[in-house]
Amino acid sequence: MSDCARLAELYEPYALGVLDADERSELEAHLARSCPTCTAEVERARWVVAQLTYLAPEAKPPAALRANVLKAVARPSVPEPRQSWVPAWAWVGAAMLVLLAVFSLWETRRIKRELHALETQLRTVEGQRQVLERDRQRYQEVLDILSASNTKELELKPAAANRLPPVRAYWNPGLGLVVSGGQIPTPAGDRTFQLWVVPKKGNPISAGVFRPDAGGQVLHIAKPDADMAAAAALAITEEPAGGRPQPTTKPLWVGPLG
Amino acid sequence: MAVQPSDAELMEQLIRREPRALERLYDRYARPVYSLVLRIAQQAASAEEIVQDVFLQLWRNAHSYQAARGPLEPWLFTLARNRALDHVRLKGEKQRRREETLDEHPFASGAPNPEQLVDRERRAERVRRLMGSLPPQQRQAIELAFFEGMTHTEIAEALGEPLGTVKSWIRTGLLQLRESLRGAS
Repeated sequence: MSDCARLAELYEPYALGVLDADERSELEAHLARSCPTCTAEVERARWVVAQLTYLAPEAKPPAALRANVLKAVARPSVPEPRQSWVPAWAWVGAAMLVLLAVFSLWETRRIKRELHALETQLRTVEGQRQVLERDRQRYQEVLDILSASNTKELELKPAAANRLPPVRAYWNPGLGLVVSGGQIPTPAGDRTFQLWVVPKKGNPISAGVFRPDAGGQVLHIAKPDADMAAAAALAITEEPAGGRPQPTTKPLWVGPLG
Repeated sequence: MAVQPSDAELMEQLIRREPRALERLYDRYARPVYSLVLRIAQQAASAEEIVQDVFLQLWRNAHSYQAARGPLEPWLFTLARNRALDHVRLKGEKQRRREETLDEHPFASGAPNPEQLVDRERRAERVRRLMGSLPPQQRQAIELAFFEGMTHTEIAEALGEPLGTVKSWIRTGLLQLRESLRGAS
């Protein structure tokens, strides 16, 4: 007797679920080997068993149950017709992005222009700050020299032939030399004034060049290499731009030291 | 009169997540499913919960149904019966609830095509007539198995009959039922 023939009496009890564990295991092991005969018969037996459902007394399910089931899966049954692969909101979004890009480009250029102007302004302010800082340092040096107790003051008088106003000089052995004056005419062209320390012996020593400002004011600070103790006088000549190692013109102002 | 879609067509729609298909399947099968579950669970509230669970499982696992493997009706009835028996067993703490998928009890091509069946009412009448014709104890043994989920041994103990007798009653009763429904298959 083959396995299939022997197991045939188990088809319906198996489908009904009444087999004890050992019988059920035996049939399931056989089905697991994909026996086509027994598989088909067991499936038919299941169909027969399922028909026992009609033995249950008929009962009408409450209407609320239907509503609950359908509510649990409720959503549109027919998909929305596809009008476009791109939804409307995407077009709106894209248009907004384009506008935003244009605006951003314009705004970027405007900001760049403003930034450039600000940078220029900053450079100007920085230049002004540096000028002011230099002026502050100069005035501080002047103040230090003028206020020092060992500073000597002398007047440089214009040469007899010109009608230049006199200038004043302040000399401090440790701090340096200050020359100041007002209403000083500007030298012609790019020529400049040059200050000289005239020693008792030897050639004059340059103490720097200067030009009056637009208001004719002169404030020249120098720290000459010359030995001021051995100097006889200070003199100012007019020289070509940048000055010269030695005077090339006659002094416009002269003032004796000590 | 409009042609009603077949169960297989509705299952295809269910796979496409069309709630209208579930609505039609519910209208088609809710009454026998609810009757079966109420008979097993014996409580309306529990029956409603189980029936809802059955149809939602059908919705969720529609993809596991294959029309080629058999008609939906016995598939759905078996699912409902197992759910209801599990509920009762769990309630009685007799057995851990089985995790069952719709694939567990497929109905292959050996089962009849629903389009070829006599209508449900005639089939139900055949079942009731056949079972009504059986001796009361034989019918009771089958009902204890189907509605109570008892095994051969448990039924024999419950009825005070020899195990072999109970086995014979159930097997012959089901074979008679099979013969009775042959014209319907």
